[in-house]
Amino acid sequence: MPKSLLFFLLISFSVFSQKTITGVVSDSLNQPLESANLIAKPLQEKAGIKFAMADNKGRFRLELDSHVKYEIVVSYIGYTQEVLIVEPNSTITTHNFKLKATGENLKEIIIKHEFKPIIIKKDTMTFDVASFANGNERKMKEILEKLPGVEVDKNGGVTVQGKKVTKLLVEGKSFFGGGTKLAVENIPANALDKIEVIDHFNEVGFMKEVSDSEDLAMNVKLKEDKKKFVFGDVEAGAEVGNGDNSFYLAHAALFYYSPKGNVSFIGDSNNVGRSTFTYQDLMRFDGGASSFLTGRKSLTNLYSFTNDNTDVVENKSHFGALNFSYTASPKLEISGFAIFSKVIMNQKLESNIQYLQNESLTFEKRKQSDENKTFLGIGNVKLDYSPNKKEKIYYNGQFQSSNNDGINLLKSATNLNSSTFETLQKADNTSVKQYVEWHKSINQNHTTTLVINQAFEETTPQNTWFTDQSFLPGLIPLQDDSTYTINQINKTKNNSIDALFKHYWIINNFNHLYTNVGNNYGKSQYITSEKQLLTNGTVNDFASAGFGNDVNYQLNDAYIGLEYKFKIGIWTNKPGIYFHWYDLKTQQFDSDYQLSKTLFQPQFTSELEFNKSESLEFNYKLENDFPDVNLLANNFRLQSYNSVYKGNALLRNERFHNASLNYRKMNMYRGITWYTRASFNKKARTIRNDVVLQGINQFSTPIITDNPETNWNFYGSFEKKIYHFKAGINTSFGWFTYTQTVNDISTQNDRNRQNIGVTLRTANRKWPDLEVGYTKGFSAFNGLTSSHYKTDAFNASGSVEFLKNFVYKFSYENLKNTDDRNQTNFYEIANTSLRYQEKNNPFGFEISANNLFDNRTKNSFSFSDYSISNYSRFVMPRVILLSVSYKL
Amino acid sequence: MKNTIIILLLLTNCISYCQILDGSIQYGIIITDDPDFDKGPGEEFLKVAKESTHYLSCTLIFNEQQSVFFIDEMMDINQSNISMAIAFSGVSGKYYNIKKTSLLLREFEEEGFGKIILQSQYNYNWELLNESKKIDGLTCFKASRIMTIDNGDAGVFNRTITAWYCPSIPVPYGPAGEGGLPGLILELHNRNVILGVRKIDLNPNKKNVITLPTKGKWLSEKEYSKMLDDIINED
Repeated sequence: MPKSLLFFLLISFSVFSQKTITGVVSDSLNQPLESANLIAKPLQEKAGIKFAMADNKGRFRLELDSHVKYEIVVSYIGYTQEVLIVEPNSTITTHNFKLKATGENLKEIIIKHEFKPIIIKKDTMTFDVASFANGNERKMKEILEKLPGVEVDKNGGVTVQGKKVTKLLVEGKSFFGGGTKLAVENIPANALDKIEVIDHFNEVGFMKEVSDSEDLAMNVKLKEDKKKFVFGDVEAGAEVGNGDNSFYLAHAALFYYSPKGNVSFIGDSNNVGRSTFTYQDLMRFDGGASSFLTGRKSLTNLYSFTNDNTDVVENKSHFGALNFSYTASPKLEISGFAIFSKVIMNQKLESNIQYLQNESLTFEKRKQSDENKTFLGIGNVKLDYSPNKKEKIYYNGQFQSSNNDGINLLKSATNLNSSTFETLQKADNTSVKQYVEWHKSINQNHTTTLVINQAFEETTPQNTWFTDQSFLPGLIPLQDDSTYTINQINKTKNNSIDALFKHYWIINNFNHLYTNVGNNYGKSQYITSEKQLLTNGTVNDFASAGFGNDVNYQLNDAYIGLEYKFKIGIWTNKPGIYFHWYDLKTQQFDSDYQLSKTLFQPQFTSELEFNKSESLEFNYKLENDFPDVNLLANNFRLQSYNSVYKGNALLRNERFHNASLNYRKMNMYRGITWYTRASFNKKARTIRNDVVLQGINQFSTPIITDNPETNWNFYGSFEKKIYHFKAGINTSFGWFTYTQTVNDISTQNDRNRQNIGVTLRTANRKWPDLEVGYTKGFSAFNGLTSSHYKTDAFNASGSVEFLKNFVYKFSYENLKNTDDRNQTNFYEIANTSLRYQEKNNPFGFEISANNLFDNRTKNSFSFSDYSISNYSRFVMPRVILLSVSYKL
Repeated sequence: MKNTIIILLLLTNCISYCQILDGSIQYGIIITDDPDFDKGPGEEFLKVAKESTHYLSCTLIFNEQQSVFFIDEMMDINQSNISMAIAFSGVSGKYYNIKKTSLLLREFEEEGFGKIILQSQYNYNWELLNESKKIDGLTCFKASRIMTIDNGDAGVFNRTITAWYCPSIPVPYGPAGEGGLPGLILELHNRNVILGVRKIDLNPNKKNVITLPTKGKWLSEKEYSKMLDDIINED
């Protein structure tokens, strides 16, 4: 500090003509005002502010330019300021300032001033595209590469003078909600007018890794007549090689851009089981990060479209999806999508099932093949309205309709007899769902949210069963016939409306009180009927034997809850208590039934945050679950070829405790990540099926028991970075005990599983991506009998880039199941692909082989309440495709 | 010449132990819109952050030797909107300005790394501008400085930081580690974040005790950048 001061003094003495004013600043009692500030404001243009500070004796020395007129202000809080005007060329050399005390209290001065942003001149670099382009460029990427200091990497990331562009905008707005890649690789070069690179200032601190470096924004300005354009990718592939299954795929992703709104379209037609959506498509359709942020549940599950489905014999799908977004005004955003899908699927399953009962074990060998045709249509619209800074309204509405036609062929063989069933299935489903959320900030300490959810759904499944033999003896009123035809018509209609009002009261920084008031109302109608159509034309209605349901059901749940959140040091707690008034009414043929209950549901959350990288969290909840309409429908119902079901109108609610404990820890220096989770669920009162088993034929009725059911789950994972690899180990354990009644005998059963796995993967950008893993598992079922299974699973996958334009990918998995008689089954699936893509060339080529070893079945096993099955699912054969992609 | 030296010494002395006031100042955070770039990736997060900044308050406590600035701790309200607002404010950890050495210490916790203490100098080159305004009756003058961020390789970028300081409060401190102006900084603009004063509590009789941090990894700005770069580049 002294050094720069000396410099300043030397400069001021040597170059400019200066004058010096000295003096003393004191109060009216002649006490010096130490460190009082003197500011000399020049009263003319092109002169700078001068300042001086009084020392501990109130003495100051102020250097001024000789020829400038100044207004010298001496101020000190608690005192009235003093002003001295110094004329240019004035000869004044000393002046003493005496400040009078104002007598104001210096404590707790509240400032109510409203702070406004100032327009900052940004550091901008503008490139005029015309001076760099030669007219042969196709896409923006090629133009960018010609700009000095600008580089584009193969993933579409842009850097300017080594600094990464984190935000790419077109005409000041985000481009299809994506990052730089979509814009850079698709915007036509001839639409570009100017490219601005701007020292950008959003996202400060958010991306913590780059918080100390600069963020860049790139804004693309389009030519006046080229503000609307279309771009996209199309891909088509056909089978090559020895097979003649006529496998093919065709995929198109098209985008239409205009400054006010944009539309994107995805079309797909393939019979190789390939997913139609990528994860980026899903984000764009589902509204991006907002749903994750706000915890809103999505009305559709589009996630299923992002998965491949090759665990079937045949999968032919045609798919079209349209997504649009439109900015009606700065306060209102509208977006939506429409999906149409037609899928023809063939599945084949062979299973060996062991039914557990006290007298003898029954074995069944079952062969099933399903052929399904499904049409699905979804329309969804979203509105995001922010009328002012304190309020926000969000609306999402969806209409969905599907119909499904299927033929199911089933062959069942036991040691006693064998039979064949053919079922024609037809199911139509229509649903309308709406969601409204209104959020308002009342003031600093109070915020409210109102959420309303409405849903209507109607499903009408119809089945026609054909078989050559009588079945379910004694359980269905079948009349003898040469062949049997049973017609089953069901209808379910659900109507629900849920409303929740939340109020948040911020008492202070460490104490909050949340109040929730809500009501969930649901109404259902449930109709089932079975009729036998005899070959002589008459109809045998099962209704006369007690079959067929027509139930009206209403469940109302009115509740009020209080949650108190408080923090002591690193420990945050949130105990809560809810009161629910449940009212359940059913109207059936013979009885009307009503159940009213007032129930307490306490809950508790506690978190210990040791530091940002380590925390321990505990959760507990007591919950009640009321049965759905199908459990209360108390007439018989034909469920499948070997089971009949009868509901129980007297069922009450299940009551269970849920608790979980999570621990996580991260240490970046050592590259270590820990995560463990233990959860516990105990049902104090359960609804479980009481089963009467005769051979393979089952008759079940739900009953409410006080037999407890306990479920423990534990999951732990540990990962460590070693050199340029990441090694991990993970374990999971589960114990589930429950009481099952079969043929009037209750047994306590338990199902356990233990899995332990290790993984190793590369963690270096410059190396190829490779990953291998091995998991060992144990499963056991203990009850009337004991059964054990062991599994060994191995997987490996990787992706290698070579010779600049080639990418080779592969994935391999195998699974071996061993039962307690040491019999094993094994399968392995391998997929591989090779892709060739030249930089800036619109064409790309790929040859891919799925299921390289032509493995036809995948084997597995499962435990159910009273049976154990191991099964083989038939999968798609080897598919070798050659595909070409073109970028529009 | 002798006079010059005496004056020099006097002025030096004056500057080294002038300020006598102790106090605590409360600031609020406002994140504003940028009319040019109102949308973009991360826009949803920014929206949530903007709505929640009014819950936050920051405190500056100072005494003769040093000052400390931090965002007042508070719990999240329902979903993590408080954490989001803090993240977007650009204020992270505790800022200690040590007057004698012009040393700025920033003590914060980096997820996965633990406590870090970042050291830098805060003797900034402020440009005092001839502009003034009143904030609730307190006359403030405008000052700005260019913050240079050296990104190692070739990226050197400049950012303008603007402050409104109040000469009648002769305290050379301010929010978020800014200081060195002839007066307390009542309003600070850093990109689209404004830190504005809400409450002034001066107590010339009481002495505030400020303990400097000791536990943590001591790094310079360059060392810290490199540490993060290493982790990002490896994946």
